[in-house]
Amino acid sequence: MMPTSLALVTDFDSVHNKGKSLPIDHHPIKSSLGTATMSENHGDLHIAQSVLHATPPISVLPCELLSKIFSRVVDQARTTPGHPPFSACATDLLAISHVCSLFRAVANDDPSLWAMVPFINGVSCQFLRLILTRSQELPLTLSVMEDETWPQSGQVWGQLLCDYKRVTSLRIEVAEDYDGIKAMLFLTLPVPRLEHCTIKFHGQRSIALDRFANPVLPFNGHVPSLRALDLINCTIPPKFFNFPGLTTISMCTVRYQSDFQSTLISPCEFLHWRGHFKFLRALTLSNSIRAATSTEYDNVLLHSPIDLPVLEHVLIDDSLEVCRQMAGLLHFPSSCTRTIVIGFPRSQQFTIDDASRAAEVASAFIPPNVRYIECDLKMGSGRTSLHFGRGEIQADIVTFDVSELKFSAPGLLGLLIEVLSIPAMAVHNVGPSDAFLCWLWEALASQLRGVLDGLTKLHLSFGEYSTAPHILRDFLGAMNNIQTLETDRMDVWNNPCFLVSSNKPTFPRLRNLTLPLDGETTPSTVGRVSKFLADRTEIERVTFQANSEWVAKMGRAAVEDVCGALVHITQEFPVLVSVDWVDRRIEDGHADH
Amino acid sequence: MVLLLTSDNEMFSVAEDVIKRSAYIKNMLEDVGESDLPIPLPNVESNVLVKILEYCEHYRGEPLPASDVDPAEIGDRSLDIADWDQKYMAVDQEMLFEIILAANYLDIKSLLDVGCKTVAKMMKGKSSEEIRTLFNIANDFTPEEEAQIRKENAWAECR
Repeated sequence: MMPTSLALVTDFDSVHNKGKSLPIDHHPIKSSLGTATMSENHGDLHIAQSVLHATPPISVLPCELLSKIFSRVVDQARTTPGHPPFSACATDLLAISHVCSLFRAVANDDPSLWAMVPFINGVSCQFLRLILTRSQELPLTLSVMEDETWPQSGQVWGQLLCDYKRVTSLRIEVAEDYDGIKAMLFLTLPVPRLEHCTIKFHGQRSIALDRFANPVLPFNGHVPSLRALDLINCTIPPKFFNFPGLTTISMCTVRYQSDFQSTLISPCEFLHWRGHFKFLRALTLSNSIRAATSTEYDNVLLHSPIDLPVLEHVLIDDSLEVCRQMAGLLHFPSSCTRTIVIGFPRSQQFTIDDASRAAEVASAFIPPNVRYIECDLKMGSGRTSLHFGRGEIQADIVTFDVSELKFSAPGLLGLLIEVLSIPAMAVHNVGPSDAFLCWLWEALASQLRGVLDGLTKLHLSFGEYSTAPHILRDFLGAMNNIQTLETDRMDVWNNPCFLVSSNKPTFPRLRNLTLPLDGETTPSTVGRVSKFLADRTEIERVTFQANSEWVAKMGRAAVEDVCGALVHITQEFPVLVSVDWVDRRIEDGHADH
Repeated sequence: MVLLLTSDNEMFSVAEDVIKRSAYIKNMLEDVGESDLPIPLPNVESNVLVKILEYCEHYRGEPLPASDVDPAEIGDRSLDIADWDQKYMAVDQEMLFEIILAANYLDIKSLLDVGCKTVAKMMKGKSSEEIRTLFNIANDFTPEEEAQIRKENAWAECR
């Protein structure tokens, strides 16, 4: 049995814990100072100082907290690049169990820790047996990697297969120079308790896991408990998705590699999903689909869309054409939040018509019966996005990724864009993608007129030299009921074209402004806002969102100090404008101008 | 305001929205209602409570997590720690473990998780000898246990 609590210090030599004690190293200072000297870690210096205590400070922790800490050591997501080998978690756990008798008792008596670390690469039969024995009969998380450490020993395989029925979480990886044939053996074995499966092929590639045929389906057609399937750089054709209980599907492949087209899934194949996935809650499809030919897609449209009745979130990140086809193919409930990234691969030449088509596709993903009140528009290099807020944290997001866009307008128009692209000829460095985006957002304004009309709050984010004011002109002009404009950087206000466009009659009739406030905010940085307020007499209130760290540095006198700073900063504001401030996080406190 | 009485008899007056990050206090306030009596915290010393309140104050206004949700159980399995939390946890070991104990007692799951992650990061990738040195722990294994440990190490190193 695992000890349940650790008593407080009762003598100088040990801390008792139901028969187990945490011993003290009687020569700690020398060794620990050595650690601190060698380490660059600031935290380790504190550690060295702390060993001056007579008892190990860690001795105050009860066993359940030690166990919680140990589980944090071994239970790590392994999705980050350059993660340590699968053996690392097991080796860490073994090291912990070799520290002292208390750590050993806590670690060895908690089978859930050992159930998290099974791996087969480079493992000896004895070590694997030790791990599996200590995991008792708990569900296992198994990690395998096809690489040079793939096990050759029949004993290891024998040991693993004895306990394979306990596997509930399976992570299969294939190293960059390997074809995955060995690793895919795992896809032929039934795993009755499997709940989570991740398959990842390393490298810039996409592999179709399509070597199945009835009756040999993935996992031999027997994974009734599978809930989450995560495929990275590989795809399983939808016709082999015999996983009726899935709640999460994710298929992600390296972006827009034309060589991969044959390994990607055609939208037509998704028709096999019809009637399945009554429990699917999250769907991620990132560059894993190839566009169907127009004939193929016409055939798809003869069928009704595939209904995913309880879907809560969908993410589709793919080319314009794929997004267009998927919008027509899948049907989500209106409560489902959407993250759509529409890309323009460099392998294609895009035209003005494609800008309108992109707007149509984007609006097809915005449910018409959801009432949005907030909109967040971001313009960065190569990407521009639109967030429609549904509530406090939920939003539908459409991003246009024009980083690879190849666009050329015909005739004189094209010539004009080329001229504007010469830096000396324009206020901004205008490029072909800006012209494309202009048409796109103009079309989007027209498509989403009803939604834009209902918005009351707008958040803008773009740089001082951004072309966003021109690109968004019509879109902003369609927001007839915006009352609050929020900016979290002053760059927007320093953009000369924004000031020009915001003074036009088509710009929303605002009531409130929200501006950032920190140590850098001065009367001159808000000078353009002052001018805007002088021109826009209908604006009643300006709320400053104070940077929390800046406020915290002021200590107890923060409220008075911020109020004092505001009086100074807003001295050029019209007197009828009310000025408030809120802590960006606390949202408390105010000052009247 | 809520009055808190620490084990060393220090009284603290704390804004309710600050201390409600503690599910223990939050539940107590909901059960007992408004009261002028201080809430005794027999397991928390004043210097530790000061540190706990610093954390609660920093996250004041942020949504409270569901009290029964452990961050590790909702998918946060990385050992990444936010910058502010790292600085907050840059304390001596005695205080670090007292914070973890107090977070556990007061049921502040996010703080407990940051504390556990901090200690886990200290242990990660270290040998048993290095962990002993780090935490000032002596090797108390019997010769029989030592023999078994040597065997286990050999199994782990064997390929």
